Amino acid sequence: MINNIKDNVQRVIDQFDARQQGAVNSILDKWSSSDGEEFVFPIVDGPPGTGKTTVGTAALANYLLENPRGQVVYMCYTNFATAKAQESLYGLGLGLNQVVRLHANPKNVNWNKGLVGCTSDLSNLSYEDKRRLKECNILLCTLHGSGRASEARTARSHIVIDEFSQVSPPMFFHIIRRFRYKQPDGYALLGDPRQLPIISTQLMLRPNIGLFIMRRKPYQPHELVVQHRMHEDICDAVNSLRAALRTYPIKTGEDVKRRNLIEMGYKWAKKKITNKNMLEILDPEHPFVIVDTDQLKGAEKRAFGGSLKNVTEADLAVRIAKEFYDSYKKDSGQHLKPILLSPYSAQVSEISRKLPPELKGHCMTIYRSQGREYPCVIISFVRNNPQALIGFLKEPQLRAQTYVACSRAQGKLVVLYSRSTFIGHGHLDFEHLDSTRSAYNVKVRS
Amino acid sequence: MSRTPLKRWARPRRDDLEETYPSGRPPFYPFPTVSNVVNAAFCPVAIYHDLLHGTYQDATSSPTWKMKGVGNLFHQYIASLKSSIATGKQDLTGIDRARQDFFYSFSRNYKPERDRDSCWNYYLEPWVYRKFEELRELRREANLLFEITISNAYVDFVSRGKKLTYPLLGICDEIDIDNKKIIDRTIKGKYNDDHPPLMKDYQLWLIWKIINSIPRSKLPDEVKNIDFDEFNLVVETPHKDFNIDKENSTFEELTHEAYAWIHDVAFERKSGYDVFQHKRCTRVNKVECGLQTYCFRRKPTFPESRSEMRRVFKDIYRPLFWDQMWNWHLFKYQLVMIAPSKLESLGLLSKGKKISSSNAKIEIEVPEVQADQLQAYSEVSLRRYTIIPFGNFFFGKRMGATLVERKGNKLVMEIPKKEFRMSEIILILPKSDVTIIESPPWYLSRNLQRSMFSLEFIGTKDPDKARKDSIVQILESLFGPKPLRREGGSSDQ
Repeated sequence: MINNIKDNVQRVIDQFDARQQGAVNSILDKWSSSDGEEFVFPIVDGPPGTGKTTVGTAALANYLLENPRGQVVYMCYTNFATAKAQESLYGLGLGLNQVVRLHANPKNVNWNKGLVGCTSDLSNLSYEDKRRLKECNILLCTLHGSGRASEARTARSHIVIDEFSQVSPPMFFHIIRRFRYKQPDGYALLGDPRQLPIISTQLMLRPNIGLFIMRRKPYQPHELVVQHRMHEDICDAVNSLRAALRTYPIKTGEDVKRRNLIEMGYKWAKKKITNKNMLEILDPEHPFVIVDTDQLKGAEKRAFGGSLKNVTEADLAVRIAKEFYDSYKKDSGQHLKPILLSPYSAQVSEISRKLPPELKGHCMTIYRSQGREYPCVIISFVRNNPQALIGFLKEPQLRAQTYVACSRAQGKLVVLYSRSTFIGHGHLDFEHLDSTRSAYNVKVRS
Repeated sequence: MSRTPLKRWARPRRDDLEETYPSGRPPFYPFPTVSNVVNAAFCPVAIYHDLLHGTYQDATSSPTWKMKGVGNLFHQYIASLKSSIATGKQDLTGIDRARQDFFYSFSRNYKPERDRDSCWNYYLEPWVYRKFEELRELRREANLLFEITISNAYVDFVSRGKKLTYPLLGICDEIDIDNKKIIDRTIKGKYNDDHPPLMKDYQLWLIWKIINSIPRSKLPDEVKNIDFDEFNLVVETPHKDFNIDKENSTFEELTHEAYAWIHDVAFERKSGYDVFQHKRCTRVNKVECGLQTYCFRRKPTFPESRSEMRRVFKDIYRPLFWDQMWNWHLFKYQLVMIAPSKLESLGLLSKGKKISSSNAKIEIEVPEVQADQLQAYSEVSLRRYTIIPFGNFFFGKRMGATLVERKGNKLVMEIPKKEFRMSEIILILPKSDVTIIESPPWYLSRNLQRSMFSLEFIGTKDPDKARKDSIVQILESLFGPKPLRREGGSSDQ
């Protein structure tokens, strides 16, 4: 079994570029440097698709191969992200007794799935359960659930925090406090400081822990620059947004440079489509399409909960999603199921209500989509008003939503917005997005 | 302690009440709870710790961590026992029955067992002995209300002949409508006490002030015609009952000062100096207080960068409190200052119709569009909501509920297994997500305040231990001169 894990890890590491390998080798370094004068604190700055989680999990598996009794706590912001990391670790061959995910619901205990729900003091667990947790090498949990992990851990474990863009300094110090008596062996942060930010009403609380550290100390993080998720046209769009965020551009790995939906194994039944606009939108040769919804008769409306929706744009998004589903299919008969994203929860409800049964559950807020990737992404930006107001989409705190949404797509990205609202009014992100060289523009009529 | 009272208490304007993207310093003052006001009235340091350091305890709570949760068990048991007798589910034939059949089955999940036994021996047994006849005589269908949350944005207090109003929220342990009593219980107090336990009389008086300030038109129909002004105020300890006088000018003055402290601590950066100038006790002259462990902690020598860490943390505590004000205090204002129909349109409230309730589950029918939105909220709130099964935001029973199933526009929710009065209309509040932005629940930022304050005191006085202590060293590197490095193997960064 150990050989199996060794082979899997080696195979993954061999595919890494030099920067990724450097990160793998250092994430689980101990905090004390050889001369004792410095504090070793690895921070990996990994933009979308550069394999932060893969690097993190490969580093964990590698560490366990060298230290079979080593202990690590791997923390993410969401339960979804912890589940994904767990899946990745099992994929490398690690077993149920080595990797366990902690959950807030005490009723949710299933050792056969590596899932243990517990209270913060573990009081619902039997002595045996607690012992098993203490013996387990890797515990995965959310940041807010760090108390459980600290209770379940013996001394001297490593702490790895994923997606640190959502970790505020107070949250980081809260975690440090929780592990006060466990004396962690090392600390590492993984993430992209420009992705979804900390939500706070207070400016003072918005910088994430990565920025907090880098502003206090001269420090150069590990920068991952090659992405292996998006087609190069989509990566162009993401780089336009990164330029608006004033950060370095990322490169596209050779393996995904030309990987559109056809390269991903889907067949396109072009003949089924009669509408010219729809043909342009669905064409796999246009991996990045901007759909101008100005000509649609419709506008934004405030819905229950204060959120916004745009019914005509929702209708169009659903129509496009259905066409994708009907016209793209794999040889195995599997249909393409595009994912629909929106920054507004009311629009998500509106779209979800209209989606056909086969696409149910394929719509979510951009916030929930962080850390996920999909072959085809359709984004509905909703706003359509004569005052050209785009609300929180231009606020420094929340504008990263556009960047995060666009970088979820692998082979096809369709962006729906009203040009008259978003372009020509100094909305920097959208000006940059609109001027992307690879963008294919389509105007639709009602 | 003396503090000049404020001229007026600023409440949110209409724009603020409907603010979707709040930010910065709140343009309104806090909406305190009774505990906040009692802390502020007791000692300004207590309210400073309460608002800025997110302390667990109140000044009036037990100063130790021993027997955590016993007070809650005491309250819950009495409420449950009385409700069961009043609904005819239990007949109290003897003390043993109250303990064997009822207490042990009621508290079977309470751990550790030693504390559970102590709760019975020290607090409940004397209380049950004292109240045995009263319990036996408790009639069926007795009109008892337990743990009622009461809230009003305009509670009247008189200051030097002038009436001032403040917002206030509290929880009333018991309202005995038949016997015209408002009761506050505590596990504090001894056999030979002549006075109620510290500040308990004031706490109960504040609760009565809230109830009395709620306009009749805002009270739920079931209690609309009751004159609470006639009710007696009773502080119950395990050993004695104390009747509290309602006319109390000292309490009035104390309240104005308490609100002035709350305001100053919430907004004035330099209030810390004033607060500690007015502290109630010193290291050599301590008074009985639940916050002694916060006030008199020692600071070890290492980390040496502690002063810089404190400076940085000090700048964070107040923004964390302002965050709570936007996320939680504003919500408390909204609930009592906005009409229910407007609350519904803002998505802060859903009015549901009770379809059925059994086995700690309740089925509620809500409008289709609200069911969609409540389900969308559940994605960020771990499916947890606050529901009001009886009453309203001014006077009602609030409890947590977990969404377990949705059948069209009917929601099935799990609720605590308790006896309580239930109306046909159930109010549902999304518990944690009060803005449309997916923000973490407000109470988590209190945890952050608490953890940071606790970090201010960690460390060791032994330099060798400090060198090997990874927490001390990470703080030295983040706040002191120790350099940070990204790799351990070599130093050529």
